[in-house]
Amino acid sequence: MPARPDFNTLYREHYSRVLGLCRRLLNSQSLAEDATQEAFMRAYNNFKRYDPQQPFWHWIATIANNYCIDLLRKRTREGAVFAGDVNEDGELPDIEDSSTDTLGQMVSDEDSVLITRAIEQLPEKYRIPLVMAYYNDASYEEIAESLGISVNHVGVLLLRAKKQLRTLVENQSSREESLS
Amino acid sequence: MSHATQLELSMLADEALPEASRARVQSHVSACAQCREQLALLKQEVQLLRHALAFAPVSIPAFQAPLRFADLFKGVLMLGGLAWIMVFLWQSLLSPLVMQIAGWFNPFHISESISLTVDTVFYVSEEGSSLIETLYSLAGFALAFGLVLWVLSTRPSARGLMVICAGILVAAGTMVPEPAQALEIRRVEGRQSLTIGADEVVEDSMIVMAESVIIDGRIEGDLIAFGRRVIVDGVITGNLISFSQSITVGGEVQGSMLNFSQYASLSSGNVMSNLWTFANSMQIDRSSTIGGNATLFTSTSNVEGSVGRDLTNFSENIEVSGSIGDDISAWANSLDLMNGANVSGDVTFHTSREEQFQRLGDATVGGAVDVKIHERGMRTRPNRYATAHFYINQLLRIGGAFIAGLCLLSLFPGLRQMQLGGGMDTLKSAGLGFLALISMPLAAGILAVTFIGIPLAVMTIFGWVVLWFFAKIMLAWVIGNRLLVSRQGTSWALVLLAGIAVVIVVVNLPKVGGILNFCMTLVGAGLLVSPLLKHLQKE
Repeated sequence: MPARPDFNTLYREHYSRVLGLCRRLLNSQSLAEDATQEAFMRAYNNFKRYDPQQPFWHWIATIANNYCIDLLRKRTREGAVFAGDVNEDGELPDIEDSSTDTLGQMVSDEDSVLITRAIEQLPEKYRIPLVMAYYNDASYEEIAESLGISVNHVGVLLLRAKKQLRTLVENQSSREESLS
Repeated sequence: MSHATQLELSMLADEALPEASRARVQSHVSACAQCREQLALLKQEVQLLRHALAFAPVSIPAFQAPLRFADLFKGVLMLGGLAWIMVFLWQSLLSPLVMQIAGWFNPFHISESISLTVDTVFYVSEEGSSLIETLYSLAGFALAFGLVLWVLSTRPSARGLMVICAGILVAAGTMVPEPAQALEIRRVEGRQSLTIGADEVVEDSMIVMAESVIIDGRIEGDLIAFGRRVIVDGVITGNLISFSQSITVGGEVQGSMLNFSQYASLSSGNVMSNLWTFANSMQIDRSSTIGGNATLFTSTSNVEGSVGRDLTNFSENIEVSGSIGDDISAWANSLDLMNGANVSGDVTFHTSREEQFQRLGDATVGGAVDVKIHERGMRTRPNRYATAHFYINQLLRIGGAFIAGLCLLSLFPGLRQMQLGGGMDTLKSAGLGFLALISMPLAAGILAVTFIGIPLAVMTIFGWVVLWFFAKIMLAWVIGNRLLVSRQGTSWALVLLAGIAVVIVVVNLPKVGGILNFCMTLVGAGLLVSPLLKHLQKE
């Protein structure tokens, strides 16, 4: 059995990344700092339950995720952050073909700040799965379990997130062009 | 065949397409150039997203481990223990001594002050040069030693500095002068006695160890004696210090006498300066005299001889039938002033029952007689926990503290982030609180000396009062937070209320409540002060 790592070392190693996650999820630096502290506090209190054979990032990211999602759920009064993308009969609506370019065709690597800004403007129901998928490296199944939705629903949310991102980035760059 | 849907392509790009449709979509994509191109673009998009989401490292604040009850308990226990020891020492030993010393500086007792000054001047002129040299070298030694410790603790690798310090230490060691008087050490093994004959004169101070130590001759210096039996019938020009089962002094000790014995007696003995005795029984017979003060820690004391100045006694039973030049202060079960007793000053008797003081008709007291009754929990006090009044009061207290706490934590939401770390943190916080609570009124006093400083002093005193008021509320918040840490969605007001309830229960615990109350106030005050200090440090 591997030796149990020192909590303080893990804290130092993962603080920035957890803060980044909370920052992306909550869209607020001060809320993110508080959430990060809270996540590590919970991890500290439950450190006995952590299996050292699993990556710590995975564990702490789940804690931080759940905490942030709880916070966001409390903020939206009805708590249904992810409603509205599934038909009444449970079928996912088909997504009409769009002629919009992908982000790669619109911005270069150096312009990633445009995308970052656009992510901040995304509604929570799109931002959360997007961050979980591409920041946490969580699988669709893990995202589905965290958010209490189906795997297909995750796919739909991500697809919509990307579509909306493209629109936001397009608007931003055209605004910047008109300004210059 | 129709093209793959956007959802399918997007999920394929994320490698998340379910098994069932993956093979179908993949075979289509490999055959369809348009879908292949779309998939490549989607994969590139995912990379861009990962890149955009990446977060730069930030400065990491120190992790404040949450308070554990065991640590808090240890901290409070340590503080309580310290407080108890301090209170005990003060009440049992220091307060009478301090009072005695303070008495010397009492301007209304000028004669005592003058005699102290004269004593000091004579002592310094007699022992002066060697004393001062010793003091200097001791100070030098302490300085060098402190320096070495400091270097060791701060710069473990600074060997050069350590060598210099070691040099200083050696130099300081050589500065320690030879004793002003030579020292003679005599030791007799076995069950033999060591006798200094009546015609023998020892020109030095002496340390003697023997079964029986018998001094019939003259010692020009101090005598330190270890033995089963110590008998001094000769003359000691210095001080006598003895550790023995029994000691009898029938001769003359021109300095002071300090002894730790089972039985101690002065029979026709004469101690010209002070007497300090720690013994089971102490007997000072009618023809014995003590020139200075006599301080006795004994089980029974019988003072028939005369004491030049004060008699201070910590005993079970004391009988006094001799003459006391000044006051008697006694902490004892019983004090009997027998026939023939003559006390020039006051008699102060600390006891548990007044009837333990007896004064026979012939005994005279020049000053006042004051019997101080210290009840040792024997008093039958109504049980305060059995009254409704008590519980109503405590409920009112909880309510008041709760409202005050609500106001405090709403006005300063930052305080809700306060945490206490381990036991050391609790101690640190208590230390900080102690400093704040002590230093603020002092600072206010200093400020108030100047006219301009008066408003500042008033503000400081106001802050001080606020600190006292809110200290325990702050600690209650931390405790409540800890109690309800695992319960999600608990409103912070409930957390505060739970903490306050715990604090109120703790401060009302029988026996330990008072000390715990004090300790908790210190810790809470420290909690309130620390963010202020951090803020100042930042600025």
